[in-house]
Amino acid sequence: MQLPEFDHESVRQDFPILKRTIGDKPLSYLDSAATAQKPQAVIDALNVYYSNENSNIHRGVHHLSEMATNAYESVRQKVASFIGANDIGEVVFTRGATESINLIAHGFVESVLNEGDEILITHMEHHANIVPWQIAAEKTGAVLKVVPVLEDGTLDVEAVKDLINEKTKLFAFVHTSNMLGTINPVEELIKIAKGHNVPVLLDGCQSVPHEAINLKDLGCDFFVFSGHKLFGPTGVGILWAKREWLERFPPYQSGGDMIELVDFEGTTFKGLPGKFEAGTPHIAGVIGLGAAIDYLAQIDRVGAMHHEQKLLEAATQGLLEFPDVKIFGTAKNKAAILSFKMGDIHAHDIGTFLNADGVAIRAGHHCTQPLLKRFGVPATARASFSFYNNFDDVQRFIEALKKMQRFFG
Amino acid sequence: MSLDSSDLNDLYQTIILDHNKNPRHYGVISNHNHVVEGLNPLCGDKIKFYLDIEEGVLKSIGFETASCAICKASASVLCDSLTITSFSNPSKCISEGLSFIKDKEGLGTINEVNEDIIAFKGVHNFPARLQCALLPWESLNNYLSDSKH
Repeated sequence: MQLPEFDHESVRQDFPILKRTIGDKPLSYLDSAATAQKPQAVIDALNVYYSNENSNIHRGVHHLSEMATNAYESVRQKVASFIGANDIGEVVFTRGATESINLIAHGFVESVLNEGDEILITHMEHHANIVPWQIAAEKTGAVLKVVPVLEDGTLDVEAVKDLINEKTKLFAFVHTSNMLGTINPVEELIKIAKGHNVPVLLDGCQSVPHEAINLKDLGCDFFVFSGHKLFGPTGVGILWAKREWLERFPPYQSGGDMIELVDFEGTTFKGLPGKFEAGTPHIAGVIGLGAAIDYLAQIDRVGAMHHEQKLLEAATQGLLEFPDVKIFGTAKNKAAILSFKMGDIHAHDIGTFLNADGVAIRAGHHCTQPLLKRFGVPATARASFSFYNNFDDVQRFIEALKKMQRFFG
Repeated sequence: MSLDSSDLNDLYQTIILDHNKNPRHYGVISNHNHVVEGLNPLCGDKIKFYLDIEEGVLKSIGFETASCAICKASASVLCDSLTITSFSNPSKCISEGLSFIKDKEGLGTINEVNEDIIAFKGVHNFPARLQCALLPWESLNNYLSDSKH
């Protein structure tokens, strides 16, 4: 059966920012891997909350507090359903994926790691999944091991089998690389880890915006992602972890809201997930994330993914027509992320030129400095696509590059 | 702010493109006894100066970059300025260059800097790129104004 085409032009109408111009040029936003644009539904949710429901949550007996508490807590269920989790006690709201990983690393320092233990990560991790583990290793005397990345931007899966052993206390890796676009063979990697009884942390920041996730199928121990890359507000992230881990970990931060009883003789903490949510959270942000998840539920996500793949294909073809272009990450299975360099022209110069034509791309190290070192470049230009992009965006991107090349001669 | 190709032309005018393609004093100098490194952690631009300093006096200079065109051309103009003036007053040269790039003023009072610095007047229309132009001058300035060197 032929599926109906994904109606990206009607979806574009849901994202007000796409109507604006940069100077006199239409905006072609090709930086969704850094942060996604927000649909009107998310913007409205923030507006409704602040205009009509604003109040602190929990413990309030007045009407507004009840409304805000319900709105906030209902998102926990939405998130759980969205990622295929059963237990809302396992869903913790954080400030972002970075904080989610730091929370896990803190738990590992306090209750898991000992001298000589090993933590396994990969060469394609975002700094957020490198630095917390470096610090954890320094604090505990554990050793950080790194799975190499092959020339085409795929992970050296065979090396995982060599590197993982009885000393490995965690395998933390990215689902989809923010620099290369590579989608890692998650099921296979988790199977290897489970064969050695090694828990798995999966960084889903770049995968949740593109594909449906079902934790029941994946079988990882920890899953993190950020709200703002999923079309929600900045300042909200998700940590999902198996209950046994969250029960084992001590609180990450302490103070208001995470306690049960406070006495100078001693304090008892809330159960899950409250134990990990100290202080007034980003209530509006969480509600906005809920609106983003609701929004995604009513679009054709499979169609959206196919559309993104077509954009990636068109942009890749267009790019390969330049004589001196190099694309980083040519895995067969990759998300709509296109990192490249063009002759001697530095990525920042590319970014500035494209911006003059209204094309927003990212240039730099993408918080993956070890990966760039691996490929021998200080920076790359990166165009990343979402389902709200169209083929005009691809064409403007390629035309702007042609103009730039004529300029540099 | 509206940007158009005339702004871009201003930013990447012939002088900058020329210094980027044919940077002056590029590379390691054989007799260097000091190395100065500069890094812009925001974008990863890196610069390395090789200096020959004899009895506290700068005698020659070379540089290498892993950076954008703006940063490379700016370093080239800096090294060129120092060399043309026979290193007569490096600190004055650097402070003139810095204030021109930062304030876009003072071209009339510039004595120690190669006139090619005029090319950087356009960088003000691109606040995100200002640091690219400043990095070479600031890195060298910090090193030379440290009395230990």
